[in-house]
Amino acid sequence: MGELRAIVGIIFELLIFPMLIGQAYLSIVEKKKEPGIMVYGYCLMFAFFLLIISPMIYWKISLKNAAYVWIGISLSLSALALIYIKNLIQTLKEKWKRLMVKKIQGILFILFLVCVIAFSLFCVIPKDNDQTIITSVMAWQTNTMFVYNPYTGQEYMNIPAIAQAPISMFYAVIAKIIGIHPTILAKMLLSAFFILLCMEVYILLSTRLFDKNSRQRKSFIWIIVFLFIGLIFTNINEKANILQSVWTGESLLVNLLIPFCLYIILELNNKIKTSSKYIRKYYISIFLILVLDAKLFSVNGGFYIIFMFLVFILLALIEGGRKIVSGTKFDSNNDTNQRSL
Amino acid sequence: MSAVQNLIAIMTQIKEAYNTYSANYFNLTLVLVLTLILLFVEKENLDIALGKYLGLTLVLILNPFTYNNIRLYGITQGQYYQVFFLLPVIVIISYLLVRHTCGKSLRQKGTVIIACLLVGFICTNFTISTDCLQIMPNLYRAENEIIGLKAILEDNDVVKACAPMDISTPLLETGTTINFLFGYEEINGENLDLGNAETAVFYQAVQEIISQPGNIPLQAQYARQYSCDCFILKKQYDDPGLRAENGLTLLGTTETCVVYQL
Repeated sequence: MGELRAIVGIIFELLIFPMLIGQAYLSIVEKKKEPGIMVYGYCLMFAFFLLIISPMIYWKISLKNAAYVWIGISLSLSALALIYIKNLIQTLKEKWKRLMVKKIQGILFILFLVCVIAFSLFCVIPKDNDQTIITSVMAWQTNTMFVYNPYTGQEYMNIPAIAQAPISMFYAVIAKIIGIHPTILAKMLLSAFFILLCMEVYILLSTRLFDKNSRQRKSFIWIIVFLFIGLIFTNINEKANILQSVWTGESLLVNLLIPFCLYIILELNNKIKTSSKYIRKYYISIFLILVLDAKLFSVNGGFYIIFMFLVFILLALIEGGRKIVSGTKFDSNNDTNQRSL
Repeated sequence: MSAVQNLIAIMTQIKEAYNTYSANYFNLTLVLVLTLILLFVEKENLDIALGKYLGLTLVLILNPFTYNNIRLYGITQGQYYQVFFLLPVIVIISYLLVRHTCGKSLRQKGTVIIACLLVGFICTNFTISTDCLQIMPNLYRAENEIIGLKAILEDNDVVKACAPMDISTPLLETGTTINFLFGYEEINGENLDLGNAETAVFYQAVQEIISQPGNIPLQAQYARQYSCDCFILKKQYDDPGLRAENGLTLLGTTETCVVYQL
């Protein structure tokens, strides 16, 4: 029974739910054919989680109740997202077709990634000395959230500073739902998911950096993979290496959010002149989602996302502020003309 | 006058931080990624693109106002502070690499980049080792050392132990119910009511334990005072003579640690 619960929980919470909400989000913002549903889904899931868990930590609600609330919310959101199930099926079919076109290459790359993940999970000693896992273990054992100090078992006088970036509670809540120890969940199960997710982000980024040139894209991906493998043997980037400690908030911020933010910014750079509708609907929402995600991963995380967007805005202003303004005006006029017609 | 002095002081700090971090944390990944990106920028636009980038970085990051703001928000304590100061260095290195390989074939470009990276790699004295590799036959991804310590403690029914943080953290992550005397937050005094006399004494004890990891009598004294069953020492501090003098017994040893029973 416990095993069945774990399997169903993992499939739903870590696969179906992110996929459904990712597709729903992309459909709502009119980007149905956008690749990277899982990345969008996970980002959205993390953002929802932060919004829900923060008040619950403040009100000192038990972990079990938080898990119930999260199950309720994930089920309701999935039910709502079922409206876009057709789009999801279509996207998955297209992905399968694309994989079948490059059968051998695709399968070999997937096999290689599986080997890398297995090597990372079973042979690489994690290099983390932060409180993420230990805090989630304490929460899991005591059915509380940031109430007891994980090192001494003493009650906190106030809510600790690390509660501002409650990624540890994400592990604790999911562990509670599926009935697996938080350390095993974060260091084994989620690590495998997160490594794949980070690789997907780098693949997405390569499509932006090396447009229409598959050889350069492939080289970029291979170099990234081999760099991460190579860096295991050095003393640099220990905490940010996805093959060493991907579950830490810092690592997720560096390897998942910041490259994804760069991908969004590069896309924004290409699309900025096309339509003001994009800016309103998609970019503002994705910016908010990324800031919330960054806040979940690191206390100062939001700063980096805002900083990146600020740099982009400044660059855009320097490059051709007047052109952008006139382009937007032109597009908005077009929109109003179309509406009146 | 004082404003000017403050400005000079801040600029000196920036200079020091810049020197320290660019020497210690030369980031190979960032150099390579930026080099790869720049390789595909048109040759004519390269100078302008990098000039703008450097100018913006300097304006945005390396000015006293931003530095002060970053410091105010506490980012100086985190490792990303280093990355921000590293960016210009990385750009310069990448720029030199790209300029050198402009107009050459892809194979030549690749060879030059690999050669430069190898030189950089050796020059920055990375410690390349296989210490990070170990077949871990447990789902907690804990080192065999930690699993060994856990077995010693659990076999002897230990309820509370005094251990350094790098030992207690992975031990607690493996799901053990053993309590540990001190941890990270106690060291910093965060969330502690230091106005309370008892807490202040506890905090003082923790500070002493941490500052003198090899002082066996002191460790034993505080372990007894706070009802610990045992304490864990690094093997280099093991001293059979002192152990006998303080009435301690050896509970077990692992590759790098010894466990003393009170």
